[in-house]
This record gives sequence, C-alpha cells and structure tokens, in this order.
Amino acid sequence: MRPTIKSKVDAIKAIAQKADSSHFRSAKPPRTSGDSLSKAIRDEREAAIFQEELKLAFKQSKR
Amino acid sequence: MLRLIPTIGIKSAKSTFDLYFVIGNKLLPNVYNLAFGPIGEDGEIDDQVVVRHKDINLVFSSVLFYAYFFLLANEDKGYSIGVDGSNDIRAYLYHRMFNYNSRELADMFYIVGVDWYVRLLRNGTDIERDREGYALFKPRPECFDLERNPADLYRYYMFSLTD
Repeated sequence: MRPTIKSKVDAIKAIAQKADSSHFRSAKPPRTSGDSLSKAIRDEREAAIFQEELKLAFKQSKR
Repeated sequence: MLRLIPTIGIKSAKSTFDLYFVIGNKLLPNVYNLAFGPIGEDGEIDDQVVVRHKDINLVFSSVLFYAYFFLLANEDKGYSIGVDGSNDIRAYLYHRMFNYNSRELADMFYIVGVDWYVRLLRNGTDIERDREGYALFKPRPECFDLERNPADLYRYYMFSLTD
C-alpha cells in the first residue's frame, strides 16, 4: 500500500477508535425488499454458479 | 438473513441529510450488500434516495472506508462487498467512484462489475424465459473494465480486499 494511502487509513482508524458512541445507532434494513443481485439469484444452484464466476472475476482482477 | 452492524451518520456542514450504512448478508455466503441512505420517518434506511450531498467526495470516501473497515475486520473470512446500482444515478456514482480513483483503490481493493445477461435459445429467435414468460436475466461478474464507456454502467459493483 502506498504511504499516502496508508497514512490516510491510519488517520481514519484513529478517528474510528475515538468515535463518540452517540454517532452509532441501530437501524432497520433498507425499505427495499432486497438488492438486485439477491433478487436475480433465485436458488442455491444459481448462487453456487455465481460464486464460481465471481471467484474467477476477482482472480482476473489480481492480474 | 440480514446481519446488521452499527450505522454511522456522516456529519457534514454542506450535507442536506446524514447518511447511514447497513451491510446485509442476503443469499450469497461471504457476499455482503452495502446499502446506504438517510433514515426515514419509519426508522428504515432509504437506499433509493438521490444523494444530495454537495461534497460528493465525502460520500465516496465514507462508503469506501466503511466497507474497507468491515472487510478488514473480517479479513480472514474472505468477504466481498457489493453496491447496487439500483438506478442510473447510483450506478453512475459507483462507476465514477471506482473508475476515477482506480489507481489509488488498486492498493486496497479488487473490483468487479456485474451485468445482467439473457441467453439466446438454440432456435436463434427466442430467449430463455421464466415460468411467467419474462426474460430470464442472469448476473455475470467480470473484472472491472476501466476502458468501458462511462455511460455503459454496470448494474452491480463488487470489491474485496487485495492480498
């Protein structure tokens, strides 16, 4: 990771650790019934196929 | 089943409302959809709202850092995060976010875009359909194409931590 990015990440981490707990609140799930990917994958078989394709896509991204 | 984690309000003098985030696990194991938006009167996050923050970079970086820390906290599990381009405005936001910051983000994330495809049947004239006769669209992930025309948005964007 580049030094400039790392310094930003470290700064954000420090802010997160000091964050006032009042900034956090629980919320209900989004009002939509689900994201479009979840809607498009209808069963476990389709989910398994998608997972394999996703694995390949991430592998390609690493090159 | 949704897994809720604490949400964070982004404080900004220029914003017209605070944004809150939720990461939910729906059907795919190890894939988490990140939804964000203001909290409505019913206490639910409205992830369809048009983001009106004037400092859009603050929104970009908040979304990414929130996701980044979630992935870091679960580094050993190999999770990936998805953001839904549920409408053109949101999709353009994500596309621009990943495309314009690709060099910096390459240090942190592997990025994938997902399009929806429908299969042409062997007869060459019809397409695969569901029981109701509607086109059977299937999501196909691919390595995020930086050369792709910005107007040609992906439907869904996914990213995971670099090795």
